[in-house]
Amino acid sequence: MGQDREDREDGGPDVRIEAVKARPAVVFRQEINDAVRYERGLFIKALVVLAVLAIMLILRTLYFA
Amino acid sequence: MGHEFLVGGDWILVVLVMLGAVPEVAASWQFLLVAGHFWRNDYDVCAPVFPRTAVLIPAWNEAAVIAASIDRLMSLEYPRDALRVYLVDDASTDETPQVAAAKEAQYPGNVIHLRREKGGQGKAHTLNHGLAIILEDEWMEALLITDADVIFQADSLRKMARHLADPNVGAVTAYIKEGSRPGNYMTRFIGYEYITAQAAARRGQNVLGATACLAGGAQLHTRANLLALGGRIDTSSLAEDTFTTFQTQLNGRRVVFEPHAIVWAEEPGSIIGLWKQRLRWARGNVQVTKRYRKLWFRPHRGHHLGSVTFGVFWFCLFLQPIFMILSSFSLVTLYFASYAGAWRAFHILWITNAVTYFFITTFALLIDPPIARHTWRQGLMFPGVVNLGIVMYTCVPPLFRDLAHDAFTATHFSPDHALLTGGILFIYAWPAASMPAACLAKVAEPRRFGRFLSPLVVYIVGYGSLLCACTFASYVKELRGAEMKWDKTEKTGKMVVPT
Repeated sequence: MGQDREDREDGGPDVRIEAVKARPAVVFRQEINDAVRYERGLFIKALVVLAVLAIMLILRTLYFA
Repeated sequence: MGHEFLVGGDWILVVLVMLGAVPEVAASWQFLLVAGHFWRNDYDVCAPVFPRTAVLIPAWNEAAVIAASIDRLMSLEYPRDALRVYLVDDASTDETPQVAAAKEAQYPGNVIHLRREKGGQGKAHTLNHGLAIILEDEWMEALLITDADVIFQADSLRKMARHLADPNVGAVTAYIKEGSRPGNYMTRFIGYEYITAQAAARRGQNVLGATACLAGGAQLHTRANLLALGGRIDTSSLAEDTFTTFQTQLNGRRVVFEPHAIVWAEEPGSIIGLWKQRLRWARGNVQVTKRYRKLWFRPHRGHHLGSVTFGVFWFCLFLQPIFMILSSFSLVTLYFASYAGAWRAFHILWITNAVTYFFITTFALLIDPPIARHTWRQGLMFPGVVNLGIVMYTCVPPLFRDLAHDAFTATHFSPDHALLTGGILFIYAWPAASMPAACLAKVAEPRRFGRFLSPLVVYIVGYGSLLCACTFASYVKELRGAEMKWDKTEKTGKMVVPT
């Protein structure tokens, strides 16, 4: 923790947690789920790219070295 | 590598040759971290919070773009009574004051026009002028620093603010996309670059827990964070955003990148414009590197800026031109010491480059498909025609040998030893030589035929080499102690942004 944070005692956020004209909680939850789903999609895409790369390296080693 | 090719000091040369691949390998590692963002993200501590937010816009001669930016801010999905826009007019000489006054009248209580009669000191000074006024009362709970030309998507501020529910978060940044449409080759190169430098790299930094830079056009700070920073932005460098980012983390607060908060910016459409902008950024990075010299590679419990991984990422980018020069120089030297050894080292270097190129390019295009549809050609051509030719040769050498043989047979041309030697040395020296070659594009741009010649040179030498040349130029400027000049990027307001 940095020096400025050592003095804080409540441990709460720096801003009000006050939902001003808040959108329904279900909408907020849905947006978070969408974001997490997108990140999971990126994980799968990375795996696919790595798999294709591995196949290309094997083919290169076997046939084009 | 066969030991029969190399003796004694040749191994040192081989190691130096392989330095040329280190930045690409580090970039690949950063891209691998993107996959980890599924597990290590901040969404589980988000909450729908709407702190009273002051939007701080420094503006100097922004009449062409400022009205649209303010209108977009006023139509954000954010409570109007929790949003104020402070436009700090830095002694503009165009219609900016009139436009600002009109917007102040249109949105009473929500848009505040602040005028500096004596300006020209740079962005950080302009920000500090507004910051001092904003901090005078207790209204502001969060501060959004942005640029006059930046256009926020309706949900972007809301998505940034949700991270402020976490007491450990001091600042949040968004994903800036290049918005010029149809744009030109340069804006498309930048559009693709921003996938790699923001959507990918900053996700990786989220996973790492250390962020290199809050985007200047979209940084949301808590009031407590600003007060901890001394209530002002650093004015001693050209990289005030990076200083703010580092200092926030050194103070024990986290900096978060929210990839689903999208903002659009107009980026330079010419090499000269890009050069000015990147030279400023690169000089700023030199200053940051020097200022925090006791931070690097020294792990600390309170932050992750001193982690080895973050240090490797930072210095691979910062020193990439040096790595390229050392690699080329060592390969050429090795050629004279051990022809076969140099040939092997060359192959290993470029196969590594080919693997990292394939992984980074393919994955980058998959990270942001809408931008990829607009910029995929520039993504593929990022390394330039010459480098791509070398990559293809090292991947499938028999194919190239057959093609060369057929071409020589058909033309009855037989290259002599001198020509072959020259060709090999050219290819060995290319990573370093591509940087001065990239400068030719800048030199050619304002001249006759420049509109045609300059893009051609960039496609041949590669956009990456152009950026490295900028970085190298920044070393020279800093070593010379050149004046720190704030060269404003020209904006035209020709952005087409999804609603």
